[in-house]
Amino acid sequence: MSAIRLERLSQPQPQTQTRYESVTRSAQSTAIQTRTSIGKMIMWVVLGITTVSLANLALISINAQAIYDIRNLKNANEQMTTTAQILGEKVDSLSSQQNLSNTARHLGMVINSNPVFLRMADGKVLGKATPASYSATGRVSTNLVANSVLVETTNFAALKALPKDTFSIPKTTFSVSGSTTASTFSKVSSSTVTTFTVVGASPAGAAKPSVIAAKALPQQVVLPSGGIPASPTH
Amino acid sequence: MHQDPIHFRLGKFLKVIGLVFVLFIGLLFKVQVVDSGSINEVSSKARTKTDVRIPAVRGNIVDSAGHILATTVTRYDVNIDPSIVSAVTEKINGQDTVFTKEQVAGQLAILLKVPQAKILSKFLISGRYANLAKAVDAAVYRQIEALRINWVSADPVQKRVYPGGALAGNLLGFVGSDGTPLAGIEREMNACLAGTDGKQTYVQGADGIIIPESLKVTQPARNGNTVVLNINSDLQYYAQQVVADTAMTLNADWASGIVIEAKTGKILAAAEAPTVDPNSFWKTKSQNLGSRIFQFAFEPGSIMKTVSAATALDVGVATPATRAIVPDRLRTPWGQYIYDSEIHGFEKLTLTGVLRDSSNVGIVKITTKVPLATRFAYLKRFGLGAKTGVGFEGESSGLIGNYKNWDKMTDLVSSFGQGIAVTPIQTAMMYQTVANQGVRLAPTLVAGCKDASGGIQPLPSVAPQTVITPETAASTMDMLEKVVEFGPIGRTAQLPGYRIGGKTGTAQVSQGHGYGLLHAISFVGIAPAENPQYIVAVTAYKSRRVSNSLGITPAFRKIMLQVLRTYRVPPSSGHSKKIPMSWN
Repeated sequence: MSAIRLERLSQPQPQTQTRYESVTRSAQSTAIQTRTSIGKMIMWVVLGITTVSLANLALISINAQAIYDIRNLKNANEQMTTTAQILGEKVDSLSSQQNLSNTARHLGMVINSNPVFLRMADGKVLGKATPASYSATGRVSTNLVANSVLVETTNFAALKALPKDTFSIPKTTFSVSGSTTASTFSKVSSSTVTTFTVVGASPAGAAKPSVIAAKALPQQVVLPSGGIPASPTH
Repeated sequence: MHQDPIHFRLGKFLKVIGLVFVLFIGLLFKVQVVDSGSINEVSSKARTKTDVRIPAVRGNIVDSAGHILATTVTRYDVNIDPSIVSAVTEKINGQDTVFTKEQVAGQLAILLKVPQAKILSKFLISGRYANLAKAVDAAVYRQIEALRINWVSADPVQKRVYPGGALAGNLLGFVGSDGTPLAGIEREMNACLAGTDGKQTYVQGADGIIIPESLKVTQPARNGNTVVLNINSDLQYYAQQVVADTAMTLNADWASGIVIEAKTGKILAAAEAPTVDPNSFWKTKSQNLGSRIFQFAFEPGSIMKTVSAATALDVGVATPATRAIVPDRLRTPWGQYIYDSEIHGFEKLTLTGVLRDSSNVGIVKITTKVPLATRFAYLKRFGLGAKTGVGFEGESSGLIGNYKNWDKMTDLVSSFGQGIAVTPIQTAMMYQTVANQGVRLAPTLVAGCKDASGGIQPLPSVAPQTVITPETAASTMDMLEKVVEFGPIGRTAQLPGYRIGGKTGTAQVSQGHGYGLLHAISFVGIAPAENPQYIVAVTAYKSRRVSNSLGITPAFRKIMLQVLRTYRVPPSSGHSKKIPMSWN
């Protein structure tokens, strides 16, 4: 529109009308300038709106994608939570007293009914060190405490398939330091287990007792079948 | 001025466009401003979910070492939309394989452990919802999910789980399928365990996805706190093993074993058999759902002689060396007889000897020197006839009545535990009093309520009560040591290396009218005698194989040994005090 008008105004005009024309031209020039600036403004507004619209569209797309990403991450989180729960329940089952008891029984472990204590203050052995035996007091019968949520129990077949030296006890010298307040360790022979418990701290300068482990230590005590050690912790 | 036709038409066109534009602006104004409220309301109603429940997770119950005894896990209700049940196509080795509805039902039946016919019947239900299985575990849920069947869905639900099964089941109690606590600690400590559900509001997209910015938690959920018990779960398991074995061996109605820490009153183990696996409590007989240790009172028998002897010492009418001539039966002035359990001639026993031999006649002869009102007052001071303060729901007070209403025979036989009824926990706490220099404490099962910050809020405590003097307690302890050292049955409770004090109890069980042939046999022991730290009280009710305490001392020995080993109690030093048990 403006271009048409400008073309027309640029045609040669009679000289006599110069004064008026100059006045008219001046007014026309102002109008043209105004129209040009409005045009530019409209152009900028349209450009701005277009840009904002496009940016908005891009943001909406990104946001929509983010929503799905969040959903996927939440799903992944739920999956991992579920996995953690499944594994947690297996661990709970495997570490339950019932399973540990059954496992200990299967491995032929027995409880020593004659606990022996080593007093740190003077190295005195308290109690009568009697080898544990299968018939000793302290055993109870097979697991009698029901548990309906045991989802996993020890796989004895897998245990048997392990290399023979998996559970062998290395030849070790136990040194009891003065800072030890209470600890328990076992001396194992071919058919007996004697448990020592250290009580009290060794005073400064006192002789530090030590217990030397037996020379050759078998994997486990061989016992007749039946009977279980009553507690999984001892 | 002549106007260019093209220019004219263009102007008109622009005017029309402008008019349309103004119209659109007007419409936009109407939609965005004038009608915005109603439109927003309609839209919100369709997409906005308000006050959606955020379930609070019920707190755990843990033992003294923090091992979980009760917890809450997620389980899944597996549902189907019967209206769209159809064959399932699965790609196997790159080829589409079609599984019929029957085949899919078969697969689901195996996973859910539900009969296939039942699943097929659910397919025929009209409507869009049918439940196939409730509360399946996460592993099964995962397998169902892997089938990728679009008409099968799973709703997560909370379920209470007891990882130890029947371990402390009699104490923990259980919750119903809707999460309502029904018994035990679950019910007693519900205020600590139960959380508060939260609320949230959000906007869902057309596909059901929550628009993240729209999610607003209007009320956060507060999960339940943790209840910490004084129970040592390893010891509890051991004790349960022992009492279950004992109940079976003796063919008894039930057996119990209690471990108490003498100086604190903490219940370290409270085992019973039979008991309940709270995971499947509905499979247990109703009489075994509670805890007899707190809820069942019975005539305790000779266990009570310790209280009678301590009373006599404390009021000054006897010493451990007080003498009595003890026949095997005593004729009362009204013609009834009191018998000892064994036939014997006249024996010259001291009070210590009377306890050693558990002579009914001897204890009656010596302790009835104490006025009845005083004896009754001591019974109450030892905690009989009242709840112990442990706070266990449904706890029995026992039954001692009022001595003024006792008949003449009860006046006498109450001194050896007949005619009155006590609970196993009351029995244990009588001996705790002796072990704790005469001060009776309330037994504590719950250490407190632990909040999220880790702070433990202890339960209100019951003030200790001095029942007998420390000297009386020490003398009583000396006599109890003689029971285990020299008693015909008591000596079967000995532990190598340890000095033990204890007392047997063989009580006739009332059958409503008179006594039957079956007995409640008990043994309560304290160790080590030179520095009493632990009390173990065991009972077998209506033993059918052994009718005296010989049947129960093996259980005592096993549990006490395990206690001493668990808490690293070194073997005893020294010897028991010299006290005459007989005289010439």
